[in-house]
Amino acid sequence: MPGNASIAARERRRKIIVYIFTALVLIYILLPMLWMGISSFQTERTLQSTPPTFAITSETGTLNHYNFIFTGEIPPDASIMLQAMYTMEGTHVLPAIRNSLIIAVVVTILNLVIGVPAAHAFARIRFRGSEALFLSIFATRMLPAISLVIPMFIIFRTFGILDTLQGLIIINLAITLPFTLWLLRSYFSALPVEVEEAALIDKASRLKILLRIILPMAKPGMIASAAFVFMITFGEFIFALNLTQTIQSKTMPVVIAALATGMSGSKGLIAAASIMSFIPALIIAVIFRKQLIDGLTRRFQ
Amino acid sequence: MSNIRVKNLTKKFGEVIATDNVSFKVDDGDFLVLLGPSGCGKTTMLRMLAGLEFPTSGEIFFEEEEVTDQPPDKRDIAMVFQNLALYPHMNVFQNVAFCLINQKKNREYIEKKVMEALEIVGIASLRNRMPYELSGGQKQRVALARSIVREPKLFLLDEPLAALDAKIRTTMRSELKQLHKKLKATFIYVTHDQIEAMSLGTRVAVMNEGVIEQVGHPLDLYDRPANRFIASFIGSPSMNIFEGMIKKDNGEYLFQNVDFVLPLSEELVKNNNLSEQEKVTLGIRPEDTDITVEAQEGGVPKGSVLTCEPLGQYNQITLSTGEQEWVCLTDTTILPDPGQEFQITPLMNKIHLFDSQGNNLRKVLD
Repeated sequence: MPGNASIAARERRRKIIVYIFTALVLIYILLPMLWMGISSFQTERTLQSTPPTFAITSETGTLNHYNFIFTGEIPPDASIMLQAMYTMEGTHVLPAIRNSLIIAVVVTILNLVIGVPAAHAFARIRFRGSEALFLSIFATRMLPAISLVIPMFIIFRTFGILDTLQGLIIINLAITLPFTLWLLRSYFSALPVEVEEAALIDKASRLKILLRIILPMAKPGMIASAAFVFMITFGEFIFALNLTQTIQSKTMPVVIAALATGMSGSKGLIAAASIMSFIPALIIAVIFRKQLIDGLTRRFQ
Repeated sequence: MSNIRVKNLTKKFGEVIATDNVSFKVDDGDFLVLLGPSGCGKTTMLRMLAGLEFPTSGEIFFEEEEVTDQPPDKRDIAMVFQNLALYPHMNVFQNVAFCLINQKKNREYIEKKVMEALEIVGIASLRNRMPYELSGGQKQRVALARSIVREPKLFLLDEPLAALDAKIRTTMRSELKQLHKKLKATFIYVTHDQIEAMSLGTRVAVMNEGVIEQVGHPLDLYDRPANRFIASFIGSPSMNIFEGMIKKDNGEYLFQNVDFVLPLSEELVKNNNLSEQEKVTLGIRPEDTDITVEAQEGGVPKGSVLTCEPLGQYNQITLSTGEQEWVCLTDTTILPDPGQEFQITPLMNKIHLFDSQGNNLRKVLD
């Protein structure tokens, strides 16, 4: 039948277009990362050559940048000028990753501990003003961060939590919790309430219903929101920049920015630090890729 | 346990009245069906019996104990939900065992009881399956097993068959009936499907707009509907209903309708103190109507065929009597073409007469 053939042809054409488009998007996203990855393994001299080389050979390749990040050892063969490029911030990379990880992990856990019961209550209990309360929580995210930085700085100074991890945990929690509530509330709303009622009739206690029924059912939603909170917090820049002063609390984005803006910065070092900084987020995204997609696109069937 | 008394139960959701001063009694071992159109308050009634909803006023007694404000876990009940509400992350065995685990029964007891319940509903071989691996009928059986396992005195079922396709629904319906016989427990069953209600219920309570219109044996509801609502709600195709008034002609009482007149028995009119010109409604079931081609004298109903639907067992014929339609069920030999004229002869001892409030006047005779 000619119809079948033309449908098959159309289907094939559609697929080809989708693949081409996907490939273009992937190139757009991945090419800079690839370049950055290559750069992190190239010597400073290679990086400054024109036109740029992308090959890593015994001549152009080096592990010096990573070596410096982990040991603080300035490459012995570097010229005086190159040595000056390994600035102070370079030694901050590891502590900054540690700070970023601590903040992101604690904020993620707090998001779930506070967000799950709150979102469940918002989804299930119709109390007076519940909708208004929910919207007002969400409305706190309507203000651009930049407009809050100075007031926050003053508040943080007053409370003596400038340049502390606790301070950054608080501000990141405030940023991410409305998002968690919104995502989890819609997730809970989509779960059939009858399952919880069935558990109630099955003589389960409220705590048991939460632990044995609600949490397992909400797991995909919880993983999705936890992963997003982790990544948002890990990459948060504007508050971290203004509310930290020393490496005691500086986070990875702040340190990378400092590396990149220093006039004498080593390009290879910036690339290596950037690669280091997105590894945790990459690991999270790879491990939970199924739940991330599910949590955002599919509701409970 | 398990005679249940409901006294003056009213439930309001804001301005909306879900149940309005409802009272009824369920005897031990009864299979009571709450039947009604959607939004009539039947599910709310069931949820109040379960303790998932608390009444605005009124009382509920299980045996002699008042349970009106008791939470579900304090009542000895099991409930099957319309969407079944299986625990999606637990396998069949765990679903059924959950209640017993919550009661801290020992392992051997749980194993024994769960397997017994699964045997009863015939799915013991599926004990390790997850809910998403089951068909609709199998899920239904898990939900039933979950309620059986705890050996409650009262089963509450909220349209448990509504989600199933037609064939399994019929099978499950008869299995439910056998289950009720086997368990000898009290069942309260909510449905909007009158066939389910008629075939399952030992008693049927018809609800409408928050009140119970009539409670009775299924055939009672069919033969002696208390009012116009029940008359037109029970039975399929539904009863023909005609507005009209009482007339007297040559000493005989007649029902005068815009399209036709029908003679009424003097007894019926006199016993109800009906007077001339009084507005009444006449109801006659499609199966209690004959149609013939022979012409008869007088104002007896005539109709021209609008549609003829062969249903296998019989033919459903819709006739136009002028301004109204009259549905008849005839045997399959009568297969008229549209437009064909017929004489319509209702079986006069099967007619129902309703007063202007919609109450059935015939019950006075019975």
